[in-house]
Amino acid sequence: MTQKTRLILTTLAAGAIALSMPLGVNADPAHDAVLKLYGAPSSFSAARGKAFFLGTHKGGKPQTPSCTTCHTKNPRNSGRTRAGKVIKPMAVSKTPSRFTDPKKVKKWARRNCKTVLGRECTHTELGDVLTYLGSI
Amino acid sequence: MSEKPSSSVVVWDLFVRVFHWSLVAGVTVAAITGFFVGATAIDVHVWVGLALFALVVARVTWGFLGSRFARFATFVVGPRKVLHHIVELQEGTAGRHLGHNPLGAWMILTILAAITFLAISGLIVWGGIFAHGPFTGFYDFDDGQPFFRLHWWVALGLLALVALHIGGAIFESMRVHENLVRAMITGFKEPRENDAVEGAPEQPENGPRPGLTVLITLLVMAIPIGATFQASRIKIKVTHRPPDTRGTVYAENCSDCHGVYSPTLLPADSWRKLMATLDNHFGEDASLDADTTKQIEDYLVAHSAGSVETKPSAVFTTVSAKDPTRITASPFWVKTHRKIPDYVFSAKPVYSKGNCFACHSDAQSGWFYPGNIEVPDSIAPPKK
Ligand code: HEC
Ligand code: HEC
Repeated sequence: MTQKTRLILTTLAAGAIALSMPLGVNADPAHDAVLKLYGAPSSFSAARGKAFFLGTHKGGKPQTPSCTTCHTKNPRNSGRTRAGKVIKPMAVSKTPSRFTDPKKVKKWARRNCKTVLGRECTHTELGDVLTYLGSI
Repeated sequence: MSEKPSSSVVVWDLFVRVFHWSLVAGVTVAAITGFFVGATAIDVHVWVGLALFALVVARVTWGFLGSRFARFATFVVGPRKVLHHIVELQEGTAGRHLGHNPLGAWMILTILAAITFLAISGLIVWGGIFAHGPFTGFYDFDDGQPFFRLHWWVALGLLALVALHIGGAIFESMRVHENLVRAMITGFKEPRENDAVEGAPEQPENGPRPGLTVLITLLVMAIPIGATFQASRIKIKVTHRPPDTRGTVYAENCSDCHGVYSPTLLPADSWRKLMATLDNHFGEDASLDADTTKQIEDYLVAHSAGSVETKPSAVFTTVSAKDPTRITASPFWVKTHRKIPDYVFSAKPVYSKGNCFACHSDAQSGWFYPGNIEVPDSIAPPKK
């Protein structure tokens, strides 16, 4: 093998691994299990989830009208709590441990829905958002 | 120095001159850091204080082992002779001294004593209030308080002594027509025929011993400095230090949105109120199940402000009547942070007054040692 071919092969291999990564994430069984808490994965829509995540809501606390108040408009970026602490990206591709611990998901869904909407979220809303965040 | 008359002799040896001007520099830095800069300069202040103490130890040793005019025996006289000198000054019959005059001698002793007292009381404050240095663990916050007050007053007294000393040097320079300040720089003075002599008149038999003086100074200073570096190993009594929150249910559940506040930063009643209203926690739902909530509340109440003898635990016992669950609304917090402009708290990476952790690197421990304060220097004032 010449140096050149070796370089090309390595690049191709690296590219293949990189490409397969975001696809592999949704296949995480723990992530799927959490999603199933809210219904059949096929019934959820990433597009609806995106609209919900980026949207402005009424009924919650005035300081936090949207998920994006703390998570920013791009879930692949780090967010920040109102108290100044960094929140790791919500996108599963950036933070693979996201939505794998059912207790943690339930706790934060309950709290943050109350903070942003003033009520608990519906299962469809949560399934949609988790699908959206798992897809990007 | 070029114009020294040929008959001049070295009165102030090199040691005395270096000592004198080092003391001037040291006291200036200590006074500026102590009275004006405050908390954030604590480490500079303490180490300059220790250096001043070392100078005093060396000077006292030199007072027994130094050259003729440096020795206490040649200038320290009893109160009767001092009074006599004052009477002579009033009558205008007082002679001129080649070395120190009796009043100057006592000024020197008083200044040396004041600096010694400041060094020792300062170390007690450093140990008691800030848990640093040789007295760490021996004194707590309550013990440190009276020493802090004494330290402050004696420091003010020292500045008054310095003013008197300068006044005295100017007065004496005019009275005997010679520049005493220059003499303290060059070391030379011109002997006169009628010079008054107070103590031992001759150069003592045993000559100056600079090596021994340095050795004794180093040995004496090794005690406080050595102990300072060993202080971190001292096991401080539980009641004299903030609780270690690491691994507690509290830390696990209350560190998602902000750092772990030491339980000693709010009194028990405030923690109870805060834990009763977690569903509306400063505009956020931070609720937990009842069991966990109770467990955390018990922990916070048990270790609340006033429960241990540290500075934060003592100062945060008083809260704002309007906003009793906010540390940053308490009178102490508002007073200590009043000089920090608002834009600093909203700028990256601080973002919030409650983000103690951005400026106090030891915030999580609950000590809040002033030497660990560093406002991120990336923060610039907003452009107009
Ligand atoms: C969901 C996020 C969240 C959780 C969880 C949370 N906090 Fe807070 N906390 C905040 C916010 C936001 C603030 C207000 C910050 C501000 O106004 O700058 C705050 C402020 C505080 C303050 C006042 C700080 C100050 O500015 O003086 C205390 C004390 C506090 N929290 C204690 C707790 C305790 C105890 C828990 C655990 C039971 C807890 N927090 C859990 C978000 C949270
Ligand atoms: C923007 C940076 C910043 C933040 C955020 C901040 N502090 Fe401070 N803090 C300082 C500075 C600077 C001082 C020193 C003030 C002075 O010069 O006396 C100080 C002083 C103190 C002191 C006194 C230390 C001493 O012994 O003299 C305490 C206690 C303290 N802060 C507690 C807190 C607590 C608790 C919080 C969070 C609720 C907090 N600080 C947040 C910058 C900050």
